Amino acid sequence: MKSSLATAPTATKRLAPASLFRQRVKRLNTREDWLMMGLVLLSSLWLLVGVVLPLWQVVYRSLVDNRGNWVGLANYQQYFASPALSISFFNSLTVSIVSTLLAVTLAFAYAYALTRTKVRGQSFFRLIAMFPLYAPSVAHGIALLYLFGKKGLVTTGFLGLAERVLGFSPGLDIHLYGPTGIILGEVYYCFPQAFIILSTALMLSDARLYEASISLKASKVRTFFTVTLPSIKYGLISAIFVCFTLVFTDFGVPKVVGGNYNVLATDIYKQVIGQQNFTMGATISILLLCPTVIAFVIDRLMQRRQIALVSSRIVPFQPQPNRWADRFALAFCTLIAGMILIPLLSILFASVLNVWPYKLELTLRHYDFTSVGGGGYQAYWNSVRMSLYTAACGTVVTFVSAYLVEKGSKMRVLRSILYFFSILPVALPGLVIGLAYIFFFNAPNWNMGGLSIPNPFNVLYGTMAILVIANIIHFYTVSFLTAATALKQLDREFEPISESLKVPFYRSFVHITLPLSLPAVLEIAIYYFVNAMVTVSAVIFLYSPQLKLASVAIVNMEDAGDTAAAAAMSVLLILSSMVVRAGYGVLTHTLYKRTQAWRAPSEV
Amino acid sequence: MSDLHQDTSQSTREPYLQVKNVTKTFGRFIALDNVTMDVAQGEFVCILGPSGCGKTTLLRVIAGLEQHNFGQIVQNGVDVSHLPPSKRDFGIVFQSYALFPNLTVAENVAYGLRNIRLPEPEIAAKVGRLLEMVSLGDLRDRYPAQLSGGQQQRVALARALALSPGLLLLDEPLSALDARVRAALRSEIAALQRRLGVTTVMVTHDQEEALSMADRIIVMKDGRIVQVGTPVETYQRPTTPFVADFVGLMNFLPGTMGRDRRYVHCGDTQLAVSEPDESLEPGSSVYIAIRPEEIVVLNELISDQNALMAEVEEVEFIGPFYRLKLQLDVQSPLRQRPALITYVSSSTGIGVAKGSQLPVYLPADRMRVYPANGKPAKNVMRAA
Repeated sequence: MKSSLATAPTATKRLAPASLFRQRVKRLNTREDWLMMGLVLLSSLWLLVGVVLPLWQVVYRSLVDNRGNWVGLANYQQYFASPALSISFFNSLTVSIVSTLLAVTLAFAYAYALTRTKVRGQSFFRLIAMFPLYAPSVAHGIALLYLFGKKGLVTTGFLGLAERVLGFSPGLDIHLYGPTGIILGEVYYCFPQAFIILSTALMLSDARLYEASISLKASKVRTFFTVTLPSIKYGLISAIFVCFTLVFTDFGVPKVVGGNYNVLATDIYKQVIGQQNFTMGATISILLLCPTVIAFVIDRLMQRRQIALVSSRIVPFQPQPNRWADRFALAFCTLIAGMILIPLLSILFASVLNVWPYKLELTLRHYDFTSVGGGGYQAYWNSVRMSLYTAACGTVVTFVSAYLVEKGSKMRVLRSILYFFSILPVALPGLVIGLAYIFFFNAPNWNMGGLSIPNPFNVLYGTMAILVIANIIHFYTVSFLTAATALKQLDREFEPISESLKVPFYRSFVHITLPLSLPAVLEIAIYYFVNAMVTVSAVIFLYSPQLKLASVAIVNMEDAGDTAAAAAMSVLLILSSMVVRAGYGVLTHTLYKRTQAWRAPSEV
Repeated sequence: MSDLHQDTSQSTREPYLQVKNVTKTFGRFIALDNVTMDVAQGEFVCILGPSGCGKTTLLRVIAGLEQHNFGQIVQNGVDVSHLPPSKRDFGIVFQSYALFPNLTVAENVAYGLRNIRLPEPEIAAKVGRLLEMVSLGDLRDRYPAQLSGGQQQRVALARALALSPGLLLLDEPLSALDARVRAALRSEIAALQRRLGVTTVMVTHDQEEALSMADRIIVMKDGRIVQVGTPVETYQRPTTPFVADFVGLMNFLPGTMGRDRRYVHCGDTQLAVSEPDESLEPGSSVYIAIRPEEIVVLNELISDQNALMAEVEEVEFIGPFYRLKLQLDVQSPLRQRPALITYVSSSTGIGVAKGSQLPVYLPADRMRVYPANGKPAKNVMRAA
């Protein structure tokens, strides 16, 4: 015992070596460590060039006049002093709030019916709810034109057909152009997003709470307000902010059905494209940015609190069959699904009818885009190429960055800064990204304290590369969080084990991390592809005449009055996204089957 | 055997692993406070302590997975303080097994071997030997999800030993397993370690594990080492009430040191104690500590100073024995009479019933005396 006690620290021993070892112990860096640090620096550079510097340009340009003289907040004063301009800000707020409330309410009811009743055809209804995602927002506007426009199906009473049969005109003019049209279109546009968030939240509710509520003899209404609502609170808040941001920054719907009702997004477009007034464009961009950044900050704060709620183990809720509730749910879901399908079908019809509403014979002539502007099939293939590049590059960049942030071991501070700038882009409207990229990439020289150096990124301007970069940044946050969540679920000890086995981190990344995260990787790729196909806002300032895009072509064709051709292009985009989505479904299914041996634990 | 290890480490050879005055802080929290310890070649050392005592941090510092701030770590005569884990010589097993789920058992074990570019037949042979060693030879093509917890942990052990490391680190390797598997794997790991002679450091919060497996136990508390000794020493002669309480079960009786240090006043009774501690002043407050199994239950009261009557307050049937909670028949200034826990074999069939009177004997040579300022973790008694 004496000999072993000698190794324990004693008072005298503790004092003496303190002077000897005052020097802090520093870790030596291996080649792998340098590689890791290099990669972290590289992804910092990526977000610096992709987000920080361009965004700073927008802020800066809103504080100078058109000749570059510092004017402080004068542009903002000018904006709010001009009623013609500032009314858009309040218009934007109005349509955003109303559309958000409507979309979230409908999506909640739909998600509730699908998760809390034994309604038939659940997977069918889930599939239908996703359809609006595959169309650009401008297509939702066009669909509304064919239904509620001056010559729309509903407005004219099924093109006069109803009058001939019934003897009177049941036509209904809802006065589409203006807030009505915008709100209708935006509800379509953001319904799937709200549905995804809310149905996930509803599925994560704990059945034990409901059992407790029933055993305490609480009424159904009381249970709803004391159990259901609190348990999906964070999902609800998230859905509201996501929808608000989408509507507030959307450009496609108001462009088509806005009429004289101006909103911020269309104002930026008019200032930049119409009047070449970049200063006012930048000023409005910042105004567009403010509410989304506020929504982003509140949402982040809320999500931080939620962690404890989700991490505890839950028993999923299993609905019991209830004849009347199930029937009512079926009726409601059918109604909503119908309302989703009808506009999409009306676009399809419009694209194959000779001259709406006069010559109703079927034709494919609108799919021959040679006689209209916009770029036709060239633009379509450009869009496909751009989306493929975005999916490929975006997935690599996003996943590697998320790996460095989540699993890296060096540069702790820089990695947490990286995390912040990786989740920030969700608050950036596509138009703002586009404008920021004009400012940043188009500048031939950088002026730094009187010194002018050539802009090394200028070569990207007007190329496919800048479109791909803009798309990756525009859809970065959701992809990044998908990757980060998948990585978080992997055992934290994989990296230490690999290190103890002398296996470098990049080998373990390829052999362990990547195969285990493959479902998330594919999900990110498909997300990038579908969104890049349909986005208008991020690319409308950035495409070049030599590199036209399908989604932009829809806007331009509609603008020029070639609505049927615009509808045809919309149909092409929607079908492409659906085909890719279906391919993804087949791929993940086979992947799941092949890896089932190690995914699903079998009984031993 | 353990004495032999210590003798060699003290005289002839340098210890295989030396941790010298290591300090590790996380922000303002001191996780390791000037920790010094040695591990001899081939020795099995357990670091034992409650959660948050710094034992896992110490293990991770030894592995290089955490960088300590001050101090030195010398392995096999080389200062490895500055080296990253990949440049150190160790194999590690975690509580979570951390098997790669997309690789088979054999591929998991071969993972490190593939990386050093061994020829494929050599890898296959070595993997085969390692799997035989942990008796999993016939499961080589299974995936981890198809194995039981115990099997998974044996694969993890084989993987950690694949590169024939000089040092094996075990971080709570048995904590995730259920009781029966844990007991079986305990002896299996200990036997394997002795057969291979690999120097081993294991971290655990389970004192039974430490007592049954280790050559030497290092008890830690609040980032410091509080006692180092063989399992028997640690159990028999805990140097502080904390160790007494943490390793095994201990009864604590409050008292006052007698005038000649051979007695302790416990209420109105005097109890004789041997091994009087010279540092304890007569009249100072102390705790007498005695383990439940050291209390002798008598058939009838004998005339001895340390024989007392007690009232049975609780009887709990455990299976092989009854666990009794007794109240000593002692007038104490405290409102509650001092309580003790002891066991009687269930086969002897003493008709102990709640409320009955029982004579007990507290052997003087079994009682340890601690100053009362070093209070045990729980006030008087640690619940079983």
